[in-house]
Amino acid sequence: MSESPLVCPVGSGQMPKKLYAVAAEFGNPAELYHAAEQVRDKGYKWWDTYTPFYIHGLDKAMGLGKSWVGKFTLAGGLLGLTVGFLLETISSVYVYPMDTQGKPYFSLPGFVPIMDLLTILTSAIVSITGMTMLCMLPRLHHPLWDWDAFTRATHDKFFIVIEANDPRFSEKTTVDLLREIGGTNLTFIGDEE
Amino acid sequence: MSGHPSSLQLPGPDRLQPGRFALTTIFAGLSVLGIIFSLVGALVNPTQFAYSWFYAFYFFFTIAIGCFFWTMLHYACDSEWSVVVRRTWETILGLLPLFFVLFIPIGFIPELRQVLWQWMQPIHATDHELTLRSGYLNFPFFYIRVLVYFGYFIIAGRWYWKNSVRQDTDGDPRRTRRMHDHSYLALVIFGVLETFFGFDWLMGLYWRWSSSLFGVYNFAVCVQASLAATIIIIAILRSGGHLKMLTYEHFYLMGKLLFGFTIFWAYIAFGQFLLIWFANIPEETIFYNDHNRGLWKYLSYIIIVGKFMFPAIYLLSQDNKKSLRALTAIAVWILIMHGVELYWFIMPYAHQNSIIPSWQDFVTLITVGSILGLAFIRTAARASLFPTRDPRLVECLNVTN
Repeated sequence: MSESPLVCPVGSGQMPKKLYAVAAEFGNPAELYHAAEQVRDKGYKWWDTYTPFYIHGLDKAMGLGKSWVGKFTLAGGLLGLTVGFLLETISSVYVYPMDTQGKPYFSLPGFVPIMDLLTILTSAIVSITGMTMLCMLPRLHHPLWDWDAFTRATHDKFFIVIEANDPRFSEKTTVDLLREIGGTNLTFIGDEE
Repeated sequence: MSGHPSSLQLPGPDRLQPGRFALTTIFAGLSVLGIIFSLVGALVNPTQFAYSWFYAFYFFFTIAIGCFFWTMLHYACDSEWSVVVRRTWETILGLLPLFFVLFIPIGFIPELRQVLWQWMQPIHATDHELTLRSGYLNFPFFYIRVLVYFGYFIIAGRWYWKNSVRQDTDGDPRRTRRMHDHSYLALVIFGVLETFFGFDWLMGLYWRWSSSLFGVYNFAVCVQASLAATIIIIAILRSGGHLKMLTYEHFYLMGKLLFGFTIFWAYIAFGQFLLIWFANIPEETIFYNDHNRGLWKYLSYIIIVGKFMFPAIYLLSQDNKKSLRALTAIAVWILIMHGVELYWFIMPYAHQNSIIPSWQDFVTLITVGSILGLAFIRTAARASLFPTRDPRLVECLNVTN
């Protein structure tokens, strides 16, 4: 009983049973940048680039919109501000009023540092949580990890991966596109069933 | 850095032509009129004139000193984004000798200086507290410090301006290297001098009062105001058809910095208040007592809302930072609030019980502003409006963030 492999180089004649994506390798950031622009212009939506380091402007080359993380930060910040204010007001005005240097129980200037710090803390926590959720993390496995060549995405190679569930995906035209824009080592990546 | 190719076509020199710039005539006219009116004011009401002139001087001096900081920061960090903006700062540094001239009326005329800095009045000479502080507050030392402030900023400022302008012709990258090497020490000296002129001129308005956070506070005031002024100057130059190569990326960067330094100002200004409020020592709280009497109290609330809350919320939005129009609007607002804040700081010493605006406040502000504006146009016209042969020009033009 021969199972079809998960990783099949294009042209090898084999195909994974359940196709996840087709991937292509690029030699340097400039190639990747221009390749990404062309994939974007073809109207693909479910695809991603993988690089060892941050490339300025790549988000625009990929046509990515504004990140949603800022909304999480704002929500977290407002939450922290409110919680800080209530925490201080309830405890020092109602629950446990204490005379400190003859200052009024409700002394807003004294509350500000706590409100400020809770704003920062909560917005940071909510931002990181939100970012992790938006990245669909944490996950235990990713189909690309079956591909040995992909380990170099953290070292010296650049990748474009177009997923099979993209409406414009087709085994023929997508492979042609990746080849045309300069991708090498074209490979079908399969997903486990 | 990033690999995508950069446009290698460099823009040619971009020169300002004062004759074709409508502001030149306006500034020239206003400065002549302003000097006449200021002289009238000085004769009619010297006390008010001293405060008003000092207010106008300090308003613009903080901007110039902030520009010194930005230039040094640019070189110390080897910044790329600020190359095109830098010439504006350097041009302002070239104006520093003029600031010394503007300081002369209040700094060297005994009748005016002792209105501002009351420890200079002979009547206080036997005051016990003043004798304790006389190691610092005495005439020889005061003038030594004045000379050190102006001497250092003028020499260093002109050195940077000259080197940068000369690089336009010889394109020598070693100039950038040299300016980079000097910038670290310059930042340290800047920090010390900025702290002490704040002590001497602003905190010294009431010599019994002192605040340990005052140096940072003065710094926050300088840096925020000068960045707002830079944005406004760039917007004016662009409306005259210059500096067209700046993109929204540059505005976005400046907007982010303006946002950051707005928060920083609030942090420091509030921190100073909080420490004094907590400790509750009469020698220190007297400052906030004096500045919250009568109508002055409402002005302090306006500053909290207008200089911190409104700009901070406004600048949270990316769109407001990326559009020059929206950014200029808030920069104008912040500069107005900078004026309000200094007014709130300085004027209670002139009118303790309530806000009494004097016509001289406006006249001196317009006079000093138009003299400096005219000098800015003249200095800017002597070179290109951006460094044409800076080694990092290409990176600056293609900056992304």
